[in-house]
This record gives sequence, C-alpha cells and structure tokens, in this order.
Amino acid sequence: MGRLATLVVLGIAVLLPFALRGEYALLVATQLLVFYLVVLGLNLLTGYGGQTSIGHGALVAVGAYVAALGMVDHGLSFWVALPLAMVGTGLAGALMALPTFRLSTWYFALITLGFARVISGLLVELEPITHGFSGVIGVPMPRVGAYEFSGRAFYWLVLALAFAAYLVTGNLIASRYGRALMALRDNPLAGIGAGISLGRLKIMAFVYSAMLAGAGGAMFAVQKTVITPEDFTTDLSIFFLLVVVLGGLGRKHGPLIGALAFFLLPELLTDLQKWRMLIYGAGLLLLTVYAPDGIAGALEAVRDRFARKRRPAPVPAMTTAAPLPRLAGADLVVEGVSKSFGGVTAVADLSLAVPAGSVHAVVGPNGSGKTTLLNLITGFYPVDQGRILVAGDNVVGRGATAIARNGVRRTFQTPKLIAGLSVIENVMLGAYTAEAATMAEIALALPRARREAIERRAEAMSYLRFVGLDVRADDPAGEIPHGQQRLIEIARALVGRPSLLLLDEPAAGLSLAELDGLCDLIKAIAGLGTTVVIVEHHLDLVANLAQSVTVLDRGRLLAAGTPDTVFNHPDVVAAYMGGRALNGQGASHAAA
Amino acid sequence: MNDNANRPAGGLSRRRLLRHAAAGSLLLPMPFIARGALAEETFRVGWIRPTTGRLASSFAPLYAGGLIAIDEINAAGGILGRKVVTVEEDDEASPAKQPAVIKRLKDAGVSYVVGPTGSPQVLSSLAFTTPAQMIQCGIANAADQGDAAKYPYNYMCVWSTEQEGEAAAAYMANQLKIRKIGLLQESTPFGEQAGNATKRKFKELTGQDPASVQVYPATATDLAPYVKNLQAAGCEGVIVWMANTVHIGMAFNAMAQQKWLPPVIGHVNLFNDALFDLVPLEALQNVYGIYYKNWTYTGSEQVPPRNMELARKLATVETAKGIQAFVAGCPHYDFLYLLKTAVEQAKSTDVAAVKKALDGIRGYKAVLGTINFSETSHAGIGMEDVTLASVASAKDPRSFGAIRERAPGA
Amino acid sequence: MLVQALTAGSIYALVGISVNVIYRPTNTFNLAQGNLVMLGAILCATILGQLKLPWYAAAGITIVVISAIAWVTHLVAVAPILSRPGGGGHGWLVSTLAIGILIEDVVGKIVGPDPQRLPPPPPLSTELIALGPVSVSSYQIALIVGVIAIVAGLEAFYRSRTGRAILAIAEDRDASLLWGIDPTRLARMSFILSGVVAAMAGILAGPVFYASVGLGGSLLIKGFEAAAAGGIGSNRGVVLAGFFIALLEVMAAHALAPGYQDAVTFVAVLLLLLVRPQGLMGRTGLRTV
Repeated sequence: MGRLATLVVLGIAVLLPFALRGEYALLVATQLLVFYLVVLGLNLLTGYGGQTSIGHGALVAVGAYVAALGMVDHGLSFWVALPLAMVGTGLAGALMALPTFRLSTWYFALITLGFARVISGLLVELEPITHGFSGVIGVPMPRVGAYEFSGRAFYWLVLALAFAAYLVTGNLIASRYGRALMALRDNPLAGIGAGISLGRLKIMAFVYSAMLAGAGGAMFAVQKTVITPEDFTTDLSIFFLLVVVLGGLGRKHGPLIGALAFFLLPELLTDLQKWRMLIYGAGLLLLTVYAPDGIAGALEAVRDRFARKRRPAPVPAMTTAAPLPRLAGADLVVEGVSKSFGGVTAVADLSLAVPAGSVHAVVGPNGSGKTTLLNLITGFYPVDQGRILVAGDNVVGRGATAIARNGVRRTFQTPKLIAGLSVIENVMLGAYTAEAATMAEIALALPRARREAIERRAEAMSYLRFVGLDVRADDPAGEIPHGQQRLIEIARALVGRPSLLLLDEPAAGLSLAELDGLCDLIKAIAGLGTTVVIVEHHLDLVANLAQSVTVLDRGRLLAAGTPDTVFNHPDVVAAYMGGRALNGQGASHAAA
Repeated sequence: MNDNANRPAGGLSRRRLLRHAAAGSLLLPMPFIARGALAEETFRVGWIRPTTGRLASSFAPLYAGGLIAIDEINAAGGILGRKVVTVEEDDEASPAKQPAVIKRLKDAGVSYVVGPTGSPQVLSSLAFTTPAQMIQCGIANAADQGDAAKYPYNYMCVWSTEQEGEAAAAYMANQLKIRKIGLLQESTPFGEQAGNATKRKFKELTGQDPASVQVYPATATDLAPYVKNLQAAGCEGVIVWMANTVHIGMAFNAMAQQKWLPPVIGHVNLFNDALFDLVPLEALQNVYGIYYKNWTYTGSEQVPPRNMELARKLATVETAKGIQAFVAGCPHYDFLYLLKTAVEQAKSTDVAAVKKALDGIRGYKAVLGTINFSETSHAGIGMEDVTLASVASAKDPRSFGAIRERAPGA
Repeated sequence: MLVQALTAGSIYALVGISVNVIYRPTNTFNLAQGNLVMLGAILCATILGQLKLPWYAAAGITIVVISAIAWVTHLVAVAPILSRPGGGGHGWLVSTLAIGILIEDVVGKIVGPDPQRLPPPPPLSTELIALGPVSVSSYQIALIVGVIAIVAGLEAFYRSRTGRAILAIAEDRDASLLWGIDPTRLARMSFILSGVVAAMAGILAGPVFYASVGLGGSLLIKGFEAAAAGGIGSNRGVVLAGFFIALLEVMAAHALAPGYQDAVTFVAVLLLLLVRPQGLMGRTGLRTV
C-alpha cells in the first residue's frame, strides 16, 4: 500500500466521526483504535519476531492502572500519565522478557501466561496501591487548560497516537531491527551467524510492544473512567493474539485489517453471539493451519498474482571485478581442540594453523568431524578442551554471537536465508552489527538513519554484484534456487567485513558450471584479503583453491600440508578409497 | 447478591414459558384505557444481562423475578397506560463491555435500566449511566451503590454486603454467643467486602478479632487446608463468604471428613439445592444463610401472601430450579413496581420527575422488605429486613420454592 | 498436609506426563492439554451420573473419547503445521490454543458451570484412615502409587522398539525419516497416548478437584510447570516436580494471601528454570547446526 493509500485511509479515519450517528458508534470506533494500538505492538513481537505472547492483556492492565492511579491518586495530568504508563509497562515487559535469555521460545509463551496470572493476582493483592477489587474510579479525560478531550476530540487524540505508532513501527520494521526480528523468527542461527544478539533483540521487541500496550491501557482507562481487575481477563490476551493472526502475522497492515474484522464481526454475528467463542476458536485454528498469513496475507497473495511480471530467469555471472574495500585477514590457530557428544568423540586433539589471508581447506570423509570443527571455531558448539586463536585472541567460551561480531563469519551447510525478506534484505542482515543509527533515530526516521539506510543498501548491492546476483536483489529470498542461495549467504557474510570467513560445504548441490563460478568467487574473496577456510568434499575444488589442506578422519588429524602433498599421502588415499571397490567413505560415525 | 454464583445450566424453555405466560395474561380482562395510547407508546426498560459468555448461565435466571413483574404490570395495564417492554443488551458479564452497552441504550433513548449483574460490572456501568442521567438498578451489593451523592440515579433495592456481614457477626455474637469465630472467604470483591464488614461488626459487638481468617484464591482446587487451619485455631463458629458452589461443596465435605461441624453462617447461595447432592446432610444441619425476612417463616409467622404468590410463579421457572432463593433475593421485581409507583405519582416518564418521586419513597412494602429512599440515601433495605434462615429447612415440607425457615432467635 | 501435597502433586505429575509424551516426538506442547484433562473429568462424571454405567466402563469410554480428541487435535492442529517446510515455526502454539478454546466453550455450553461429583474407582474410597500421625484415604494411596506405576510403564515403553523410534524423532526428525521411521505416525500415536494419560489424570483428579469447566486453565499451567521444572522429556523429573509444586502450594496456602500463592509457585519454577533451564532431570539440549 503506497503513500497515497495510507493518506486515504487516514483521511477516512479522520472524517469518520462526522459520518457516525450516536455515541455508541463513536465509542466503538475509539475502542477499535485502542485495540489497534496494542495489536500493532503485538504484531511486531509475535508476527515479526515470532515470540508468542499470551500475556499482553496483563500489560494493558499495567498501563491502565499506572495511568489511572497517576491521574486519580496523584493528580497527574494525562500528558504526564500517558508516558509514565508507557514507561511502566515497558519495564513490566522487560521483566516478562528476561527469562528468554535462558529459555526457549515456546516455554516463553507459557511464561507470559504465568506472568499474566501473577500480575492479575497482584492487582488485587497490592490493595493499598491498586485499590484491589474496588478498582480505580473517576479517571478524568485529558485536558489542556479548560478544554477537555471528550467524544470526538478524544477519538482524534487516539487516532493521532495510533497513527504515530503506525509510522514508528513501520520505520522499525523496515530497518535492521525488522530484518533481525524476522531472522529471529525464521532462522535464528542465521541471526547468530551475523553477530546479532538474539537475547537483546527479544527484550527490545518485548519492551516496544509493551510500551504500545501501555499506551493502549492508558487510553482504555480514560475511556472507561472506571477500571477494576476484572476488566483484564485472560480472554483479552487471547483476543489480541486472535486479531494479530486474523490480520496476518508479520504483515504491515495485519493489525488494522485484523482489528476491523474483529470489531465488525460481532455486529454481523447478531444471532450467533452465543457461538462467539466457538467461532473465534475455529477461526483461529483454521487461520493458523490454512492461512497463516491471515487476511492481509491472502490479499497480498491475490495482488501478487495479478502483479507478477514475467521476468527471464537471470544467468548468474560471477564477476571478479569489484571495487570493494580490502579486508584485514586474521590468522587462525587451533590447538589441541577436542569435543565429545555424550559418549561419542567428534573431534579429538585437533590442531591446525591457517596463515592470515590464505585459503585453507578442511576435508575428510563423512563423519570425520569437519563441520563440528567449523562449529567449534565459530562458537556454535562449546569446546571441551583446547584453544582457538583468531588473530592471536583465544575465542573459546565466547559464544557464537560474540565471535561473529569480532569478524568471524560463516555460511551453513543448508543455506539459512529468511524467506520472508528479499535477497538484498538478507544480505543487509550481515551488516547489522556495523550499523550506527540508534533505535530512536530509526524510529523517528531522522536524517542520519535515512542516510545510513541508503548507504547500507548500496553496500549490500555491491556485494550482490560481487557474487553476481544483483539482478535478483528485490526478489523474495524464498524463490531463489538452491545454488544461488549459497551465494546470497556468502554475500551476507562478506557484508560483515569478516577477517575470517568459514564456508561449510559451499559446493554441495552445485552444477559443474556453478562450481567453476564458485571457484572464481572464492579466489576473488581471498583477493579481498580475508582468510578463508572451506570445509569441503569436492577435492577438485580444494585442489584448485586451497593453499593448505587439513585432512580429518574420525575426528583426528590425518594429514596436513599443501594439496599436492596431502592428496598423495597413502593414509589419505586409504581413508577415502578404503579397501573397497566403491567410493567407500568410512563407516558413519557420530555427528559430523 | 452474589457475583459469581454457580447455577445449573438453563434451557430456552423459560423464555418461551414466560412469553406464553405473558401472552396468556394479556388475554385477561384489562381495565379501560385509551386504545390509541396502548398501541403507540411503550415504557422501555434497558435489560442488561449476559446472554453469552461464561457467566451467562449463572446470571440468566436471576432476572426471572423482573420478568414476572413486567408481565403482572402489563396485565394490569402497564405503567401510565403504556406497556412495559424490555430492551435487551448482552454485556457478556464483562465490565469492559458496559460503556458500549450503555451508549447503545442511550442512543436508543432508553432512560431506565435494569442490570447489570456483578459488582465490577455495575461499577463500570454507573460511570456511564450517571452522567447520562439514566435511572438504574443493578445486582450488586457494594454499599456505596446506595450513596446518592455518588450515584444519584442508582437505586439499591437489595441489602448491602456490609449489612450481610453485620447480620452474620451479630447472630454469632448475640444469638449463638460464640466468641471465637473463623472466617473463610474467597478472594473476590464480594468475599473481601463481606469479610471486612463481618470483622468490623464482630469487633464492635465483642471486642474480639476472629480467631482465624482464611482467604483462598478463586481458583483454589482444595479447601481442606483452609478448613483445617480454622479447626486448628479453635474456632467455635465459622462464617463463610463463598460464591462458588464447587468451593462450598469442598468446604463442607472437608468439614465432614474432619468430623468437625461447627455452626456455619454464609451467603444466600448456601440455599442451592445442588448442595444436597454434593455434601452429606449432617454437614448442613447447623448451617444458616443470610436471607430476607419476608422470605422466611417461623413456628408462628407466615410469609406475606405476595411473597407466596411470587414463590409459586418462580417455581414454574425452569432455569431457577434449585436456586430459587437467589432469584427471590433479586431486586428487579421490586424495582419494576417501584418504577410504576414513581412514574404514576409523578404522572410523567421524565427522568427528573421520576427521580424526585423515587427519592420520596418511604415505607414502601416490597417483596424484599420495607423500602425507604431519600435524596441522600438510595440504599432501600434496612437491617430489620435482613435475617438468617436454615439451609437444611429446604427439606422441610413447609419450605416451598424460595421459602425457608428462619434461624432460631433471628 | 504432606498427603495433600502428594495427592495434588500426583495429579500435576500426570498432567505433566501427558505433556511430555507429546513433546518427545514433536517438540510441541499442546495448549489444550489442561482442557483435555478437564474434559476427562467431566465426561466420566456425566457418564456415571446420567448413564449410570459402572465405574470402569465409564472410565474406559472416557479414555477412548479423550484419546480420540487428542488424535483429532494432532490431525487438525499439529500435523499440518509440522509438515510445513521449515517445521512451521511456532504456529502450533496458536492452533492448540484454539483447540483449547473450542473444547472449553463447547463443554461449558453443554454442562454449565456447576461442578459434578466424581467418585474414585470402586474398591477405593475417599474415607480417611488414620495411619499414625497422618490420615490418608485408600484412594490417595492408590493415586500416588498409580502415578509411579505409570511412569515405570512409560519408561518400559520407551525402551521398546517403538519407544526408541519416538526418541529418535525427538533427536532429529529428518534423520529418522531417512531411517524409515514415520514421524507423523509416531507423533499421532504419542498424541493418542497423551490423551490416555490426560483422561486418566482427569478421572483421578475428579474426586479431589471436582469436575468443573474451570479445571482446565489451572491444570494447564500446573502441568506445564511440572513438566518444565522436572525437565521436559523426563518423566521421573515430572513426578518430582509435581510433588514439589504441590508442596509449595500447600505451604503457601498456609502462609500467604491468595494473590501471592500463584505467584510463589510460578516464581519458584521460573527461578529453577533460570538456574537450570533443563529442569531437574532434563538433558541439556544441543544446537543442531
């Protein structure tokens, strides 16, 4: 939906009160906007970030109570109470989100449920503060001097707030935060590999959505003038979730469409009111299973079908001409590293050294521990014993995110792209840690943020050109064929200006023509100055590219040296060819 | 009235039944009135109750008395010659829905409202009916709903929870002469208010605090520990403020199991017949519920004929089966008649005039007792109409429908 | 008081076990689990009350019906999501939540809010017998023993061929496909099994907790707390955690106001999980890269 459409909708919303008759319709319209405010935040958290929260009703309660108590018990003006409510609820949200550092996502959903119950209980128990069951009575309308914002004025006030929230949320989603959230949701490992701290991201998403919920709560309290603990039931949390799913998880216009549908539905149901919960439950089920993208998603699919242009499939041309910045190469030293999984040894007392700026290959039969080694170096697995020195710095125990931030980037055996983002957005993910604009600057679309967004995009484009995929920059990553997905991953890793780049079986699944292209590309990457370590099966590729090779067998070092020395080594030949006539590749062992 | 009482599920037959009753009564000979007036004008009363949602089946039967009143009034010519008509609104028993409901009624030009049910629901509703100047009577027992300064258009036709608590404390202290009481209350607005009132009155009468106060969460799954605590504290009598039949059953069963059966006083929902299926009879022998004097009989006193008549009618209401005592204790029957009286006295349906008339009501003989309103007080029922009745007397052949035997000395 | 805790704890453990049974092959959690237990209790009570069938027949029918509903849950809410490319994310959270809403609403409409009495299996009773300083009923003893027996039974099952196949899926769904194991079929079986355990939990909970619609919500949280604190996937841990939670509850009932009671158990479980995310007896998971 373009700018024009947004203005049209806004215009309709502004003019709506004039078209409505009676107080009821205006009340409902205002309630809808308040709901929308909350759902906007929940969509960011659950839709984009994939963190299901069944506790947002309780956050709205916190916002409502903070605002109400502030105005009634402490005589604060609405203009102070509103931001106070947002801050207070943000804190509650942060508290709710802390467990995510240690617990996985679905645990977290139930934790939100538990938190909601605790908050409900506290609303009653902390009677001296909250008035317990008696609730808070007499919440005043916002005023400026003698003018009171009631009726239509209040509606417009809520509308202004909702629209501002819409813009801010949109800015955040379009920025690195949105990309990171989608990585969190769809492919967390990709995010970690790009150096994104997922824990902090979750907290940020939670706090933001909590602040919007708090704002909604404050508006709710003002509109109702009386709030009691019973206003905020578990059903409320479920309704918010329902609206997000109905509109479409992670869709920009999901919240508005969902809120409209949800509020209009009871008007249409009339006689079927008794079956309301049944309809909601069935609707939620059908949507989640058959239409996970909700109404907005369905509409977009229809629009795409009509808008699809016939484009010829582009031929990826791997070009080595690249005015790209030089990268500093780091040397890599692995000393006596061991790793076992349960009783099975994956890597035993392994040592190798890779000089800075060179290309090194790690080869070996299946189960030899190649990928395990790569995971150990990049911090995805913890090391049992030994040291790993990147540019002289021992990174053992640091954790994958920290290691990635320090210039160690990787690709994965199965490319981990975010299907919901475009190709170039996937690449831009790699620059997350380098971006300087703060969240506030992005939220308010300040000049520095906008400038940086343009620069980052240009930068990503240059790396896409480097791997030959610039023509597909705006295509959805989900539509890219396998071989090219790997190239995008490489571009993403490069954008992070790595000093050490690790490629996990980059040749797997490529055709012969693509293999040649890959070979040239890796040479070009090495030409940029970064150290490259490849884990590979394709010995031809290795022979062509690598300056040094390490051969592993069953977790141990079998041979090391230049490709020539290594590939003619009798042990290596035996390990690969075995004593068998077929291309026997050693008995399968534990995790490779 | 109770906020979260559990009731047996109701069918649709009651509504149909009452419709038939209404149709039937309209065929009765009517006093002479101008035909034109009857055909065009109606007296509309907003009817707020949950028809959907979790509490729908609990709260729905409570309005039976009001509907009977409407049928009777219409049969007798209506109010000022106008037929009384309900404007139904489903509030889903949700405080959050009240503003929308009231706005809808306001838009439709309705000025008289019956309902909603439940303390938080009524509170939320009052925030909108008061500025809209709509005369209202809901089911809730918080004392400040009778405060005419706060809620000038709200009329309370039932006892307040304060009065309940006081009656229980007074009976324990003065009649049973018990000094060590225990309190078992649910953690809800009702439980808390009633508990506080009990403690206050008991202290005033005896100078003592309760020997033990057990507050349990509304979601509690087992009450035996609380009951045990009461026994361990040496309580000689127990006052229970529980609105939930599950919990009531649990509590009495726990007492039976612990072989400890002190006298128990509680809320009107102890008169739920379902209790006899959940709990052994001997556990209910010494149990009394707070009740309206007009609904009780003694060896020498009978129930007033009007109550008898209403009891008979309520006994035909399918959804009120087993819970007639609570339905009988609802204010709607009286409120509708009060409206009729006030409107006809003011000779107008204008709210200001009717309010003035209502504020002047003194000594009005209602089904629930004698109602007195004034400009400053809209709490209609006085302590003299609040008494205790025996739960076990439901088994007595003299107890018909909602009628129970008064507790000794009450 | 200890007996109290053991009784309630056994029920929580049972709910937690039914959660574990599903978790193993699917790595999902059925948010309708609490409502399945509730339905078990209510169905059994209704059959006993209305149809007047003998206890074991009623229990049997209940188990069959609940298992069928669990099977349908898998079919309709879980399988379609898990078989999406990429594993479907966490869509099952919402879809099973929806099933829970449906069950609760339908049951509420049919049965109403009133609780029903559910007697224990015939030879047992809820009469208290004094055994030294404590009073227990034969039912309570049977319950506690029964739970332990169920855990033992399940452990034996997981040692069987099918059981091990289920564990294999939990480790690596795609790999087990390569081995000819059909994850969907085994997941379906696990759901049915969890339905059996849930039904039993409901039937056994009835005498203590009463069969009413509100039972579902609180048991869901308790079951999750027991499963998570015990170490999701470990049945022994669940039993331990179930007792631990029930004990906390009883102690909290003694000392604290109601609004804090829920909070105490929740915070305790949360703290445990923060210190030991794998629960009391769970295994530390590994990232699969």
